[in-house]
Amino acid sequence: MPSPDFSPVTVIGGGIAGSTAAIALSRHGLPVTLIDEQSEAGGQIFRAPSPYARQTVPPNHEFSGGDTLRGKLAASDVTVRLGTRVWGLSPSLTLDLIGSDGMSQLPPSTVVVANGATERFFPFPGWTTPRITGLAGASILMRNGGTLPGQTVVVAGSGPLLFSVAHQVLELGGKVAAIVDAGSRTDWFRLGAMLALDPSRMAQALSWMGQLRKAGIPIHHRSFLSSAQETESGLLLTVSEMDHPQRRHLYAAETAACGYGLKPSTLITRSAGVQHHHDALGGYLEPVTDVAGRTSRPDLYVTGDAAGIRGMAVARLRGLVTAHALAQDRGLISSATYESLTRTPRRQLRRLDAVSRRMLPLMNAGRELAASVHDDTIVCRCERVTAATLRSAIHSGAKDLNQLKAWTRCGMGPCQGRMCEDSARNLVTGTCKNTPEDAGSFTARMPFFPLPLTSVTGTFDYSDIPLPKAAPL
Amino acid sequence: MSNGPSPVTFTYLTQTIEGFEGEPVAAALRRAGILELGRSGIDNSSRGAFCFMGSCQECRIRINGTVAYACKAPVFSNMTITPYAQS
Repeated sequence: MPSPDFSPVTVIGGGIAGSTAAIALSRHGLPVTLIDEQSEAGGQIFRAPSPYARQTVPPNHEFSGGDTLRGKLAASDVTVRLGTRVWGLSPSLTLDLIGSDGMSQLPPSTVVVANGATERFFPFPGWTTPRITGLAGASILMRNGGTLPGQTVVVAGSGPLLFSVAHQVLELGGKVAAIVDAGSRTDWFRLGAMLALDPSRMAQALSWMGQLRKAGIPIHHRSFLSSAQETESGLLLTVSEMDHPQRRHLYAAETAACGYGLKPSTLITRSAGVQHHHDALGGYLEPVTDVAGRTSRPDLYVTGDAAGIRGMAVARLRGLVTAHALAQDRGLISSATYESLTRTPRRQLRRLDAVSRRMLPLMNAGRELAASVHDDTIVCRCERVTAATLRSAIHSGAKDLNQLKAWTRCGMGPCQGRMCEDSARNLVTGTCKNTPEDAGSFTARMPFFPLPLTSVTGTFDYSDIPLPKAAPL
Repeated sequence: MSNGPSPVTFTYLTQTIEGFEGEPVAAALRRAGILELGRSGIDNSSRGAFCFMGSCQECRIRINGTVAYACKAPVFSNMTITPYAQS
C-alpha cells in the first residue's frame, strides 16, 4: 500500500454521481471541492425546483431525492462552489472557473469529471422556431420551472424521456397531442423483458404507460417529425413513418419538444486528452474507463453518465465506486477494504448495466434519420448552415467534422457545435461512408462557452493602463 | 401560504410581466406567452430557449443590460429584460 496521499480532489458536476462521489471522498478524509454551474446541486434529474415549481408540480421522487442529496452534501465536509462553470483547463488540470464572484483558478488537483449528459438532436425543417424545445429542456422547464412548454405539446424523438415528458405535461394539466418515437415497438418489448431486473424502473414505466393510454394519446413508433410549420396559434406538425415515408400524420399543437437521446458530455475529458472511443450501441463518443471510472490519465476519473449513459441508479453507484477506487489509489484504503466496500454496488452495477445498455439503441433510434435530412434543413442553428451546404462540402472532400467546420462554419457559432455535432457527423458517415471515428468531433476549444469580455478584462479606465516609456530612437 | 413563491413584476421590452421571485426568467416569460427572446444575427429568424441547460446559447437576453441566460437567470422584482441583439 502506498503512503496515504491527502492532496485535494475536485469534482466537476454536482448531480447524483458527482455529489455521491464528493461526499464519499470527503468521508475518506480528502479535501474535496465540488463545482456545479447551477445555483443548487442535484444535476438535471435531481434539479432543485424553483419556489413556483414547488407549488405547482406534485411532489415526486426527483424532488425528494434531490432534497435528500442536497441535505447530505450540506452536512458533509465538501466545499461546494455553486453557480460556477469550468470554462477551461490546462494540461496539468488547472481549472479556469467563472462564477458570480468572477473569474478564478483552481490549482492542479485530481479531477473527478461528473458533468453528466447532453441531449442529441436531429434536425428537420422548421425545428429552429422558438415553439420547439429540446425534450430534456421541456422536462427542465416543467420540473424546475413548474411551467408547461405549451397547453398542447407534441413529444417527439427517442428513448424513455419521451414518456417521462408526456407524463409531466399531463401532470401540469397540459395536453399531449401525440408521442412520436423513432424506436420500434419490438425494441420496447425487448427492453420490457429486461426490466424485470430493475423493478423500480419497471414500476415507473408501467405507471406512465397506463396514464398515457388512459389519456388516449396516439403513439407513433418508427416515426419522426418531418416538418414543423408555424400557424396563427402554434404549429402544424407532420409525422412521417420511417418504413413508409409516404404515410403522414398531421397534428396541431402549441409547441413541440424533441430530443434523440443523451450522450456523455465530453468537452472536459477531450480537453484533458484522455482516451475516448465510439460506443456503437449508444452512437456516441465516450471516455475509456474501467468500472471505477479510471481513465488513461491517473489524475482524472470520470463517473456517472459522463462515462456512458446508464441513468440515475447507475450514476449513484458509479459515484460511490469511483470515490472508493480513488481512495484506494491514494493509499487511504487497502484493496481488501475497497473490495468489501464496493462488493454490493459493483454487483448492482452489473445487473443495472445490462438493462441500461439495452436502452441505448432505443435512445439512438434516430440514427437512421440523419442521412435522409432534407437539403433545405438548417443543421447548425447558430450559423444557419443547411444540410445541402454540408453535403456539398462533404462531396468536395470535407470528410471529418473539423474540415467541415472550417469550410462551412457549421459548429462555429455560440453553442460551439453542441447542437449540431451529431447531425453533422451523421451526414458525414451517411454521405461518404467514413466511420464515426474517422468523422471525429469538433476540437474542444476554450473558452468552453462564450464569456463576457468584461470577465476577462475586468473593469478599468484607459488612464489606469501603465504605458512603458517609448524607447529612445 | 407563508413559504409560497413571492409574486413580483418585471419588464420585457415595454411589457409588464408577472412572475415569481427565483424562478427562471424563461418560465415566467413563457407563461406570459413570450417565446421569442431574440433574433438570429444571420437570417433574422426568431430564436428562443431550446435546451434549457446553458448549452445552446439561444435564450441569451439582457437583464438590466447584462447578458444572461433566460433559462437559468432567476426572476427578481423590477428587472428590465431586453433581447440580446447578435451582430
